[in-house]
Amino acid sequence: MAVKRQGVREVGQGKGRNRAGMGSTYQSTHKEADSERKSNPPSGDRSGRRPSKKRAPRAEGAAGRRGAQPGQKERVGGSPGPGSPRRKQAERRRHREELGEQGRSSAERTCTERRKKDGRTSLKEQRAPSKKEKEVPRKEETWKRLKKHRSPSLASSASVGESLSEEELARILEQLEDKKKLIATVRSKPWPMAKKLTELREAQEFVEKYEGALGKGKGKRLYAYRMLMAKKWVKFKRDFDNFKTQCIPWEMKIKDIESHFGSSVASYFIFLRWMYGVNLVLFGLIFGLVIIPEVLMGVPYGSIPRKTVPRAEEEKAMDFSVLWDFEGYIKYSALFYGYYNNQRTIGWLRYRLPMAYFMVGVSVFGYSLMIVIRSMASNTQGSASEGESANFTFSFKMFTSWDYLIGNSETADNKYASITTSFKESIVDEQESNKEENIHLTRFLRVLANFLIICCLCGSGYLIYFVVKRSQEFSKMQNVSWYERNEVEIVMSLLGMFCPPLFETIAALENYHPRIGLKWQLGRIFALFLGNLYTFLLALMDDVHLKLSNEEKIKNLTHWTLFNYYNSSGWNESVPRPPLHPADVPRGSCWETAVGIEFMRLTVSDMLVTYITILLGDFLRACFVRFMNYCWCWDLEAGFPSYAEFDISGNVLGLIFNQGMIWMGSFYAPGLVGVNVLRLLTSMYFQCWAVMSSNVPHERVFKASRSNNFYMGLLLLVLFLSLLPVAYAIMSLPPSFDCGPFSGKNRMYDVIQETIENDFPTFLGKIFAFLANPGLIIPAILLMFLAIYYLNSVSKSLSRANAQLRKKIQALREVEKSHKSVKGRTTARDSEDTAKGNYKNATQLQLTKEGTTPHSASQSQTAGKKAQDPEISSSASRITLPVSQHLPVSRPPGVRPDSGQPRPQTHPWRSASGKSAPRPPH
Amino acid sequence: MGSHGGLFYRYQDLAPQLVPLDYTSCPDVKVPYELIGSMPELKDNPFRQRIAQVFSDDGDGHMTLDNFLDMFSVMSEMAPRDLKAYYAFKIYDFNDDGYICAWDLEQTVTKLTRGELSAEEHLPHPHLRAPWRSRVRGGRRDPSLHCGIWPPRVLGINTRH
Repeated sequence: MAVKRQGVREVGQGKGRNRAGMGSTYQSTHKEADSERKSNPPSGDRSGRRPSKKRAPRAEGAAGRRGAQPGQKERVGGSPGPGSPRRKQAERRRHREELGEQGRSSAERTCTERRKKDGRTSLKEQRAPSKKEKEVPRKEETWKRLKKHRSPSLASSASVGESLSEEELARILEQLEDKKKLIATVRSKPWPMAKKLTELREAQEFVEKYEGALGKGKGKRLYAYRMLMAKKWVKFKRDFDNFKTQCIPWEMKIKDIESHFGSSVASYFIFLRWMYGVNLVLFGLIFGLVIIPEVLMGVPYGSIPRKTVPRAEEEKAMDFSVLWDFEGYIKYSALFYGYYNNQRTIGWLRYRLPMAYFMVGVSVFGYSLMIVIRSMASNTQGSASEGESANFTFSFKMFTSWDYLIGNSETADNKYASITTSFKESIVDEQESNKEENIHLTRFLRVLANFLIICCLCGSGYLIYFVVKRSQEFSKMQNVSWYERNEVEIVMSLLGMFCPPLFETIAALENYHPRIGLKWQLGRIFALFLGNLYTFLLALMDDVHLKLSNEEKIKNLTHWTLFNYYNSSGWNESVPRPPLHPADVPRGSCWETAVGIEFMRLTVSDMLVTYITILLGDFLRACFVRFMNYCWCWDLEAGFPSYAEFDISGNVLGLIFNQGMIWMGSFYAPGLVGVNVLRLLTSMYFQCWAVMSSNVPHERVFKASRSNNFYMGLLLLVLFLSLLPVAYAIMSLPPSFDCGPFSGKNRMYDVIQETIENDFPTFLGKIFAFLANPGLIIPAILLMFLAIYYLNSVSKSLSRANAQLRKKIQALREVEKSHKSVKGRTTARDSEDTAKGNYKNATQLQLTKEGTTPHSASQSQTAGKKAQDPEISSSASRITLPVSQHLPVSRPPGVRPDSGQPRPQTHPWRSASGKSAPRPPH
Repeated sequence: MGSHGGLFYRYQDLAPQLVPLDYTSCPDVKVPYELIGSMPELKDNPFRQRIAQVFSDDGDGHMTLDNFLDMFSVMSEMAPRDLKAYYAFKIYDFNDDGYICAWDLEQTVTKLTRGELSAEEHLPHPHLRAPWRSRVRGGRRDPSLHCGIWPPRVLGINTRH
């Protein structure tokens, strides 16, 4: 603070010094300004001999304002008083009188030249200060009035630095915020890269330089540290984001496919990837909570009958043909329901395995439902905003129809063709929207097509029914041939192979847009598959019921075998007989495991059929077409066999139904999800390869609708349909008596009751019993219905309001359009004119003031604005004011230390306003 | 250029004989449009010439490294939508007059369909024809003559940032 005092003392000598060393000071201040830019602005350690080092560039506004105080003017007269233009002029005049003109003109010339060098300024930049100038004087006066009441004697040099730095801090803080904002938004600025880079670097430099200064002493270091950490954190976050994008599995593969085949094919692969994610979660759930505890803590293999291969099967249990059918050792492993023991708790953790099994089975469905519905909801949210596609058909066609991701010339050709056709179609539509006979024809064709397809579906349904009936007869007979045993599967595969192409052929009659056509196709194949699935389920149910009816017999048999074994004669009564070997115990057929095996087989055979179809139908065909084309009568590539297109609808539906199988089967075969994960993984790679190697893009490339909610809707439907049989089995079929975690219970859900009774305190059991009361459940269901009804009506009214608003917007837009076409040009010209006028005014204004500090007007104004409040309120800063005003005096008159120099580019508009004032040379 | 390493090498690969590997000293290199337009990302794009023009300094399609980076940053998935819209407007504004006029639309359609639409289908809508013709006759780029049917503001794009 002693330093400050020194500075104050020097004020008196200022004039002399100023007069003497003008040019040199000018130079030195420049150097100082430069050096200052490199160093942090400290708040109190400036020497009095270099007062401008810190304050000159920034605190000038404040200094100039103080210089205007009445009582001080005589003393301060020599100061360059950067302040309002009027005052500046007055000062200048006095200045000349006092100092004469010697030496000044030369310095000024340098200034002017320097300023001129800095180049042009934009219109806007010039206008701004000229407007502000008018406001300044008024502020100045209020300021003076305020100042009059303060006695200068209160001046305490101790707080000079603080008051200054306070204002400065406020300003720097603001600039800092600006710069930070700039750094954050530089991405979204339409600037060329070079400008972006320089601006960014500048802003970063500024921030780096000043953010440390905002804290003081210890806080400063802490602040710097915090900023450092924040910077590191931002960098880390960006790296992490990059990493995350890189971690999205198969992103590059899918992008590649998208560029070759358009987004519709890619949507299948995205769906496949999503499905893989869901299955991974399910796999984790089942594997972690059921299979691993059982393997680690359960009774080992071979200890009890359900965990042992029966004696009759033992010989062949390891044969590949048996294992391939999921019999033998695989059947008696943790992959299937029957392996699990009904022991209430296992291991030293006292893990309640049956309970866990049940809960996992329920939560598999719960999680799937939740995730499907959530992704559907998020898809609808995204697509809700673009409901106006019908409004601007041509506009959208023109500006959005090109898929900028296309990077393959074949696809591009197709895209060109499809765009041309769609344009032609739209034009025709537009021209002849009232074509009567055409519409009738299309309608007729569509009805016909639907009729044909319904016939096909009915026929296939009857065929399946017939075959299933026959197979039930075959199953009662003894030695049946291989064909008779597998008739149902063969017929179903054949139907699945031939019906979709048939549907597609028929759908050509309908002449839908491919996107809509794809949906119809999906719906039809869905119906076909559904029929297959339900015949399969019915056959399965018959089987289960048959097994259940046999169960009682086997139970008796087992009982009697054990009884006879222990009570048979010919054994020494004194030695307790070793227990019967588990492999010898007769056991029931365990319908749950049988069902699980069926699903497992179906999944594996489905996978194999898919792969073989791809290999034969796509890859071999492509090879044949490619290589036989050299020696064939006609052009194979363009003619009949050609290359295969990627069958989106078939693949999507295959995936969806496969998932339905998994959901149904996972309760009976916990290992099924693991198999499915493997299947999805392999099929991702295999299909990616197959698509890229042997398929051609669709003839009419079309964009997939961005939200694949249709797929999700189908998936939800399948999920619901596959939930039904499982729920039925849990609620109303008795579990097998000698296998699985629920053996010995009447129903599977009894495990919950048991847990509540044994493991929970009694009052909880009572509460549960109370909750299970139909008297409570029915009102709860009613309440839910009411809630659904209410929410539904609310959403309806909201959407109605939405539609109305949209209509209003459209009407407004139309009005605007009609206005704009008239007004548009005139306003444009007007604004140009006014702009020019402003520009002239501004230059004139600045021409008139021949002040040394052309840009101070705006500066003092902003500074004044900011400084006023704190100074009125805080006494500390009030006290310091009279002192601070002296500081500028030590500067040479007529020369602003930084006038010719581009200020630290952090406030370009200010320097610009300064530069743009051409002054007549003296 | 460390963070743009990948892109720089792409750029360098376009014209290895033109672009030096050491970029610290000599920034004044331009890769001609012929090479830019043959990149796999652009070669099938009907607007490739226009894109290159918009992003190049002089509107001739020859690109410096900065232009190249610009193009990639705007076209990247990360770029904000407004920025994309700004440049999309520029791309579709073939004559750089700040308006999408009938002539621009015609250019767009021609590029999109490779000129496969018949002349009749090509004609602008009747109520657009008059200004379009006057513009063609005038043959100059006079802003007062522009036939702006969609000034940028209507499209919700702010051309002056």
